[in-house]
Amino acid sequence: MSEDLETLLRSGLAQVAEAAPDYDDPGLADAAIAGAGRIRRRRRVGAAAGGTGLLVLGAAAFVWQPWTAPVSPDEGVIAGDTSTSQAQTEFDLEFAVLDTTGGYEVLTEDDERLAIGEELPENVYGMTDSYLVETADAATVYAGDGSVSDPYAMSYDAYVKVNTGGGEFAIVTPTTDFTSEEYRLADVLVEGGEAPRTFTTSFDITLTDWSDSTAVFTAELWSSTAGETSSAFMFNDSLDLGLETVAQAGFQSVVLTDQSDPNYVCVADLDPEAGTSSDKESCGYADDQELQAGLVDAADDPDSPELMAQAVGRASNSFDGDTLMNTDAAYEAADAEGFYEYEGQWSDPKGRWQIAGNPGDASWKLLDLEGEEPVITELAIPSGAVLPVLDYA
Amino acid sequence: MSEAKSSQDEEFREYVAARSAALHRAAYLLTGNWATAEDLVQTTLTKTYLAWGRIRTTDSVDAYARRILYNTNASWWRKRSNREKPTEVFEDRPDLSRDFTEHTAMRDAMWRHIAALPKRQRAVLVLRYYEHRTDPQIADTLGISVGTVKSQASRALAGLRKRLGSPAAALGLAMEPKEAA
Repeated sequence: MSEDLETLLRSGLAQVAEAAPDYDDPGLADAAIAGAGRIRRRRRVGAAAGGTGLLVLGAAAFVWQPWTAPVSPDEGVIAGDTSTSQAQTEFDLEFAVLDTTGGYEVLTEDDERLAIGEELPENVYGMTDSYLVETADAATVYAGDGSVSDPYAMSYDAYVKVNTGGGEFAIVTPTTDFTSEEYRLADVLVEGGEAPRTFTTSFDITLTDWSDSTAVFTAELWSSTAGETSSAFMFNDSLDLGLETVAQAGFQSVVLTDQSDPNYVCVADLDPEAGTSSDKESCGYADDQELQAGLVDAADDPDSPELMAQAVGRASNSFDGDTLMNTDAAYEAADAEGFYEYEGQWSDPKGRWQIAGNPGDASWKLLDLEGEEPVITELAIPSGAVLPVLDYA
Repeated sequence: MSEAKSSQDEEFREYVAARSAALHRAAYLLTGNWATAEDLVQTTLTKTYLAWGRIRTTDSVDAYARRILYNTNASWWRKRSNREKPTEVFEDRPDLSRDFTEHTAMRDAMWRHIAALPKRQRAVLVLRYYEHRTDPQIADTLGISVGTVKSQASRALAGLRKRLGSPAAALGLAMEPKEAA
């Protein structure tokens, strides 16, 4: 059946493609050139904004552009340096907005709307084929086809983590004595998904990313190892990290990245069937070939070093956990503009932008990290906007 | 306009003329909707042109454009998937033979099921079975790991297998055993 299905796919997809109507638009290239020109002009305007507004910190030039344009009530948005449509087009930026009936919607980058419930969202995550909406007491998946999952209950101190690619999310709840955290990992399928995986680990470690085979945590390792590369450390045993529960959840391996030096990592080999962790952890630097080979062997997954490298890369560029991710120079420049004093602060999981704003503000501040130089502009937000969608998909 | 820019633009036009049909076909398979496919290709070409100065002399222009196409589509699915429905009827040459009719019905059933798959799974299927890319190439295009490619493909195939069942079931001529029980 498998071969039959694959054969059917090959022939079927080819036939569907060939059955598609011919498309011959001689203006296609020129339309693309014109569109690219508009984007470039906007970036040049930002980069060349008046010298008095130009801050140079290290290698990064930072531009502040004052908000100059008036309110445009007819359009329901504030006109700013960066229009809503520009942000939608250039950053695929989407917003959670209050609709006219008191409910909330996602306003997509193409101005279409998807209802996401009646409660004020605290975060909205762009997931694989769905949105995950986090409110004060629940997380709920809203699929693009309009179907909605049962809410995943969250206590007041629980929070959400999303893995790279947006295929799964974790609801993390501290235990009552605040010595460990319970992780409940769920996929984003409204129907037909697998039962959530759960594990409980010590407060000393924090989950940052995961795949089917490997879970990556941060931990304070350096102070214990002084950077020594060894296979003799026994963190799980001596610190009671709870990695055996990660094994029971089906993971093959765990990577611990050091909080001070994310390049320094320890790898634990897990046995999902027995629900046990290895007696000791192998520690070293993430680019070490031997350590990577050990991880592949432990995880039984040739892609596990890539997951580790991505986590190390993100941690190296992070200055506030996974909330704010940027270069130091951009951070300092934004800080100088009071960027981080706003109540609402959001960072694109893909590193393209940061946004800051207060509830009820007429516009927000957009830190554009896509160009050669980071640029701050005033972002015109759609009417009723409460926060930007964090896109992991 | 400088001579250099004019030359670059001309190269870009030639690239578009040569490759736009293939991009449109792939976009059509990804989106299941011709209007969306046109939008997707236009956006892809705009982004490609933005990078044209540095990619035009490389061998990876098409890979670059394809990567943009697939990843732009991945960011588009949410708003469109609940609004646009895939084309369900294809215009084929008339052939009244029984085999052809069954084959067409099977293909249409398969297409409906593919269109219902999550975007990433659909992208993996299109890259693997239409574009004939290897799993590492698919991983590179989609910016995901090879393991994720394999797991997404596996889930997609399992889903299709479950939904299609036997050819007769796919055509709606028989019930799945579980349903009949």
